[in-house]
Amino acid sequence: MDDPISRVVEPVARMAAIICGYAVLLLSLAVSVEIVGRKLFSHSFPGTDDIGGYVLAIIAVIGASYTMAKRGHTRVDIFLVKMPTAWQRVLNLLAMVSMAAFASFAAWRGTTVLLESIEFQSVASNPLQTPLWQPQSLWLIGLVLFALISLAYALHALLLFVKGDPKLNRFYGPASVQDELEAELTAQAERAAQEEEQGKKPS
Amino acid sequence: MIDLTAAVVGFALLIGLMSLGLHVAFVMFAISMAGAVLYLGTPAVMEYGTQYWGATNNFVLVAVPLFVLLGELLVRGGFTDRMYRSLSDWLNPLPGGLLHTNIGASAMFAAVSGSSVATAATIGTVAIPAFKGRGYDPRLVLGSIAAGATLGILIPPSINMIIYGAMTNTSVGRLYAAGVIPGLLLTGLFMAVVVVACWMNPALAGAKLPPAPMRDRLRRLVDLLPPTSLFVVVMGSIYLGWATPTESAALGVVMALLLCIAYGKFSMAMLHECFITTVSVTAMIMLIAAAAFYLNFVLGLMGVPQALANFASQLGTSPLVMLLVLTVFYLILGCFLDALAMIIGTIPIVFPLVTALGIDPVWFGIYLVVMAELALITPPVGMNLYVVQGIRKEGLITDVIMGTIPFLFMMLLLVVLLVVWPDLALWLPRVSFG
Repeated sequence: MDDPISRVVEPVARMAAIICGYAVLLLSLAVSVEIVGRKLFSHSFPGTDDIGGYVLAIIAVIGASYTMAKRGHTRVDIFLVKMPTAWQRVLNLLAMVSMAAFASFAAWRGTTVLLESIEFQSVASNPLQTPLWQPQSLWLIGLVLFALISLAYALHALLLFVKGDPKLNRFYGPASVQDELEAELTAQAERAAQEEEQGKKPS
Repeated sequence: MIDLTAAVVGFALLIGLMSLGLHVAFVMFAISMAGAVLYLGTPAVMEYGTQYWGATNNFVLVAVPLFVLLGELLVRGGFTDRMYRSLSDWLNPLPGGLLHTNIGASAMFAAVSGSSVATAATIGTVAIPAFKGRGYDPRLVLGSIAAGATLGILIPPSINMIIYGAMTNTSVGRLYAAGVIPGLLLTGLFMAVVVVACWMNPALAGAKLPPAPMRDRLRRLVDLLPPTSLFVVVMGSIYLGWATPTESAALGVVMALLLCIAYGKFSMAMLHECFITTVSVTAMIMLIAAAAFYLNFVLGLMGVPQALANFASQLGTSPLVMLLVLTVFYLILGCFLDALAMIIGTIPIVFPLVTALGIDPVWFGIYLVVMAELALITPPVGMNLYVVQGIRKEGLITDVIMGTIPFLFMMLLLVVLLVVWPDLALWLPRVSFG
């Protein structure tokens, strides 16, 4: 997206998403080692289940910011695109503001979850006895970042709305199927080009 | 007990607000909040954080990012074109020739991928150029790819089944087993469409190429090995009871990574692209899923499931009538809702209704997946139609839509067959898991 906020958010969120990806890959390796250990050597490393749950909870909220910057959160756009521009402005503003309210509420309630875990020194009921504040802190960081980013988008959309700026619909309309496809096809074309180049190299 | 009018109003609001283009996750959250505020009071509202953490810290759902990553690695893994060529060696002699390869390759790719859109993108990229200048009817070519690819979510593994299983406490292993026979049956029905169409009008099929020498065909069978071995490991470990579906997905990721390295397609840039898509798709799904879990929680406290169950039994409708109504309902909903959002958003209401009528949860999971498959190829919002049209980059999307129509009827036929013989879905889970 070419709005001023995404230009700042996207590269950072992209890095964060890559780090989350490594977490998923490491989890796959750990679980695979666990299965093989369990079946072949009757030796199990307990706790990968719980770590898996934490990884999912954390990457889901950290990734939410990247998906937001890419306008990837699902919206039904078929009726929206048929409406007059003025209506689209109102609905796009509403979509961004409601998302910000949603994310902020989640961050607020998430804070209570973490504070309670710290207060009661909650530990997970698993062999690792993980103190819950550890994964929940990372989770809350993700939630708060998502809320802040959504708020920034909502404020920017509001500003554009008040100024009557026509860029509102371009910046904050739903990513159309066409956009997504073009992105995907460009990526595929690049892959194909890369392959061709590799093919030309003498093997 | 809550009266059902309120539930119906709530559901209508849910669909209405989604249609306005607000974020689907927000709409589900807003409707559940409205229910919590109006009927349950502050404690249920304040519970949101705990529910959010509980919904996403869930080992069953960990399979979602793992299968998305597995699919991404496969898409970029570079063995699909060889798989396609090897399959075409053996399927070419059938009336309709290369068209069968689209369906067979989709089914085979579906057996390692949990997503229909990934299947459409992968098979479409390989298949569409293969038809250039061969004189096949373009509609049938495009239709067989768009429809064939929907097998991605019916033939296990399947992301939709994981989410259905997690939301309804149904065993994902059983759902996977239940999807196998309907998946193969639908593959057969799709191929039958091609055979009948090309038999009635031979002009639909293009010029047949002379078959490759047997020695080459046998040699190329090796190219079927990567997807087959991946399927055997992922599904085999579940059926042998060695691994849960989530664990088997992790094994699949490691194997797919090794395959990418073996085929020389691995690079850090490629791995990072896979990561970004995985995390972004997971975040998109989980934001909706977390809101839907909260909706489930609120509706449960409000007593909506019991009210719906009572309503269903008072109404005295047979399961058959209910399924007929639901089928029409999902066909309409599928025209404008995203397939996954449609399943997630309707489970809290529909699931108690059908279980009250004595419909088996595993069977219903398969039924819902077939409905989601239909949603993927019904215009105007059929994702697979756009993926195939996007790869083709010429002509009108109407060609793709027209081409899928005969296959659409086969899906409806599958639903009828599932209703008449529920054991098509339920036999395999029964013999594998007891």
